[in-house]
Amino acid sequence: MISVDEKFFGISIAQRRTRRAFVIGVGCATVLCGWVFLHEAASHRDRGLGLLALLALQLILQLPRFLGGFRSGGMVRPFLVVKPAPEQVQSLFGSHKEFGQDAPLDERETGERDRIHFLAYRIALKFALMMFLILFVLSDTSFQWMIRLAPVFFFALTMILLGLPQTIILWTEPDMEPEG
Amino acid sequence: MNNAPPKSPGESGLYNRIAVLRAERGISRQQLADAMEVNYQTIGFLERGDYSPSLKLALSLAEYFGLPVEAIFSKQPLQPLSQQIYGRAVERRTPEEGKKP
Repeated sequence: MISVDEKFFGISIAQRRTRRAFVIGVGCATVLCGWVFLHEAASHRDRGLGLLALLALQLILQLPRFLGGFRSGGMVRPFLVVKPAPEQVQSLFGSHKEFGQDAPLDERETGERDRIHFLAYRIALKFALMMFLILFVLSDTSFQWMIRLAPVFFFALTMILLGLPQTIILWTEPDMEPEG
Repeated sequence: MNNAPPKSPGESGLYNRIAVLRAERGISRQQLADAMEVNYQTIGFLERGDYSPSLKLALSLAEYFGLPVEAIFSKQPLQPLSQQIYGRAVERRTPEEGKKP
């Protein structure tokens, strides 16, 4: 389920530990950009979004694409690939491999994709319920600062959820064996 | 490369001879994967017994190798093919040989 050429920015992602490092990198960059965005958006509240906030927002929207899953070019192959008709392949786009087009997932990968999406759904559900519970419990206490930070938590949750299935795949898929 | 059938069935609970048959015929994982229209990593998962194939894929593999499905996959540990075939030959020959003076 990993990208066809098994490379990301020229670095091999066949090894699980490399993939994990990339996942941590993308996660940290997302959190950092999220923090910059929220901070800048708050400081420019009366004048619209600041330039830095817009830049951070743009990066936030782009970062999940590095993980892949939705389009070619990320670390995970697209979850759904519509095979072009043979005449289109020949006349317009050339062969799949020439243009780096990812092949559709096979039966094992499709099963794995479904299992991992269900796992991500369960994690997200538990996480969201836990956050609501914490905020509900804390609403009558002196932890008001935490309530004020609720939008930040929900923003972080949304960002994490956007790439959670891809993250699980990159984190758990074993080292890729040579083709021989 | 170890071509002996796996000693443990892996996560799927199935033993198989894919690695042996592939080595015997000098086929790479990529070639077999292309013929089966799957990713070559899936062939690795199958060989290790970490993935239980669909009936369609199992039948395709059987057709490709020209063997019955039960010669490729089994719920019981598989003996090496030569031992299995030779063993049967010996069993078949023994009663007839016994009649000879």
